[in-house]
Amino acid sequence: MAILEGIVVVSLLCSIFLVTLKINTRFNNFENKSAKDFKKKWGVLEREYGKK
Amino acid sequence: MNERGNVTLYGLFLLIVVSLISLHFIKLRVEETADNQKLQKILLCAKESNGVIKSFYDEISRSNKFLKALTVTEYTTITIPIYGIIASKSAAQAKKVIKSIQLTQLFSHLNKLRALAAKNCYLSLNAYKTPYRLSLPTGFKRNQYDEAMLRGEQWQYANMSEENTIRNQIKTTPSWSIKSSIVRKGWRF
Repeated sequence: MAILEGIVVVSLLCSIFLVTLKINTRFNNFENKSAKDFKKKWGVLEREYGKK
Repeated sequence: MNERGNVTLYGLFLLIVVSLISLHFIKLRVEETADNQKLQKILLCAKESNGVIKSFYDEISRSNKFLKALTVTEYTTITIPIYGIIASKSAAQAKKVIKSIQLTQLFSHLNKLRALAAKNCYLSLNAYKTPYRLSLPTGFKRNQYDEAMLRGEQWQYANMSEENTIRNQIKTTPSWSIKSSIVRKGWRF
């Protein structure tokens, strides 16, 4: 019984860890996308108004 | 039996602690991402407002050169008989046209700043005052050559948001240069 409880606790811990990791990856992807978007918009403004 | 209960309690405690840590981590990531978004937005706003102000400055300083040349023409050719009077009157007419063009450019510039504000790019009041001295009925304050007068060697304005402020310091003499610095409120560690 104690082994079963241990397995449940460990698997719950693992799932919490994996979910957190997954969320973190989503955030990273979102930030990469928004950084690309930012660079693109910055480039457009630079072409319109010059570098400085 | 009691020992088993303790093991279960420890397990639950561990789960709660790990959940709280991961929730805190997620909260930090959300805040960090939101901060980055706001920072990117204000940087784009500053880039655009600086560009708008620079192009306005370029337009006005270009037409100022024409105004100066025309004023010199207006007063120097008057001494020449017949041709001088015609040239002087033409120069005066051309000056009127250029002044009205400058006024149109001023309204267009103010409209661009208003459009920026509509995109949630908030500017300090100084930005609307423009780098040139303004007077209400005529638009610009003018010097002896009828050129639009600058406010001074230095002029500054700020881009503002809830969390960040970008201070832009603009030098107009000897040439246009801009120095921007960012002030961030509410740093998170």
